[in-house]
Amino acid sequence: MKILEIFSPNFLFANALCASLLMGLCVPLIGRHLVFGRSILLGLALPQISLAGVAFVFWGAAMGWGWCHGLQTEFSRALAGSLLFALPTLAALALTILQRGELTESWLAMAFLAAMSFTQLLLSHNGVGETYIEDLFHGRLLLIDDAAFRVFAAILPSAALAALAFRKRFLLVLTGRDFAAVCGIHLPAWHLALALLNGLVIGLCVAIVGPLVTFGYLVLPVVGAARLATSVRTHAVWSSGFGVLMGLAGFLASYHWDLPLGAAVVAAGCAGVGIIQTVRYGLGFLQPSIKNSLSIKL
Amino acid sequence: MNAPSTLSADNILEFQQARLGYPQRAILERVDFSIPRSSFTVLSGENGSGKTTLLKTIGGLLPLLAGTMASKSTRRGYVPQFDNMDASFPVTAMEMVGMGAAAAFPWWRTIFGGRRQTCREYLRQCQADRFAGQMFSQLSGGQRQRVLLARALAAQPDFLLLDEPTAGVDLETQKILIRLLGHLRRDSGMTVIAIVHHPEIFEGIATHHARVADGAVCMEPWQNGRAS
Repeated sequence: MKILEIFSPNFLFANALCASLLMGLCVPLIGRHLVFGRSILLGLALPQISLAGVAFVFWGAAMGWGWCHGLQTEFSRALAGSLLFALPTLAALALTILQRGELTESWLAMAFLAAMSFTQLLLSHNGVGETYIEDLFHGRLLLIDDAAFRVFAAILPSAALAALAFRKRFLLVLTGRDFAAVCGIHLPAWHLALALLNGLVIGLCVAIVGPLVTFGYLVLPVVGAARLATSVRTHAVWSSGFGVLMGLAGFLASYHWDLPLGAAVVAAGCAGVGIIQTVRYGLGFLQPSIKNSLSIKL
Repeated sequence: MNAPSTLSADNILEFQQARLGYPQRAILERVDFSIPRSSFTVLSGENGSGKTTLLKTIGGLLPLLAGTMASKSTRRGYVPQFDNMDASFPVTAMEMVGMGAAAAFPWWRTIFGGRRQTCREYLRQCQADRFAGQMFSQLSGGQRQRVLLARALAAQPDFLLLDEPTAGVDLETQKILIRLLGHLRRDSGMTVIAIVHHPEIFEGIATHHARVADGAVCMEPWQNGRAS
């Protein structure tokens, strides 16, 4: 059967499938920091800012700048550019949040627009960069090579483990900032650690698969799982499970109907959230006892 | 800011010629008062008088604009007036207390810090153990307040700061909270300072009354069974 081919070890797009599942497993654990820290718009703006970094390095390479030109592969240029913009931006935003209490939506919207226009201006006379970024816009999952996948496989699980190990401290500084500060927790250090962790994952994902897929994996599993979870602990399990299913469903749909993979994965995630919401809404009309018996506790 | 050597042995905190507020605008111009160790101080004053500014400065949330604040407190706990958590954050009461317990540990111990049994004990102390497994966002105002108090206690403070702990809370919870705070002070020797709008409800528990008015703080012992 055609669908079963994707589980064959010699499957042509094995890297893409494994990367989809790995992202589904790990990225939502980082996305929780954005959603529960009420920085969901940051999750939208940051991939775009990373993309501007990619465009910047491609432009630098085309202009013959030393270190940009020295990066030989498209992947290394994309990764360097993405991290170059993502990490300092997140660190600066984290410090701004600490000083002002929160980021206003207008600032994030402005950062998003500035990054978007900057990206397009840099690409206007850069054919190589334009092609690469166009692929990223469509979700570059299918084009993941062995080198990119090895980087993924090394960094994503490590970041997810760090997010899980320090979840109490991370979630405390995000959701109970005043309490944490009074207790003597060093907020700038923890916000910086969060910025580095989030920036590393977002920068890496944007460089390899693009902003659409990255934002999809950051947000959709977290939002979907929040409607199923009964605790922070079960939320981690549900969001990773949702992410894996979203990746698998998107991949199967893409393979079966010959759809663009990135868009198919994100659409599968949106459909998943929609189904969960509809079922919950429907359950609301039923007897509370039925609702209770259907609620799942891990 | 904190200089324990200049502090009298009986006090846990002392302000001297302090100016408190925000860099753009001072709220309290002349603050000279001290908080005795193991005391229960109620802080009252009109809206906008600077009560929260004073509490936030004690908690280190606002910097001192001028003067000195000396403290011998090793760890502070804080119960905020409002929690501004995302409604979709599926944290349970137990996990909430676990996060507080983890705040008491050095960062490398937070991985395993906040054991369930210890957290349940803090919830029990605050009579909140029966909703330990419920989501925080689904609790009533009074239940939330008890959980927030349990979280603050889990951080093992010697100085507890409360920002209007009885605001928007039903009468039964008010009584529970007040009784609990009284026990805490008596049994553990913890120093407590609480912003309240009706100091008289702390009759029999409060030892001092600090009135914030006209940019200054007037501290006095609790007298004749009522706030003087």
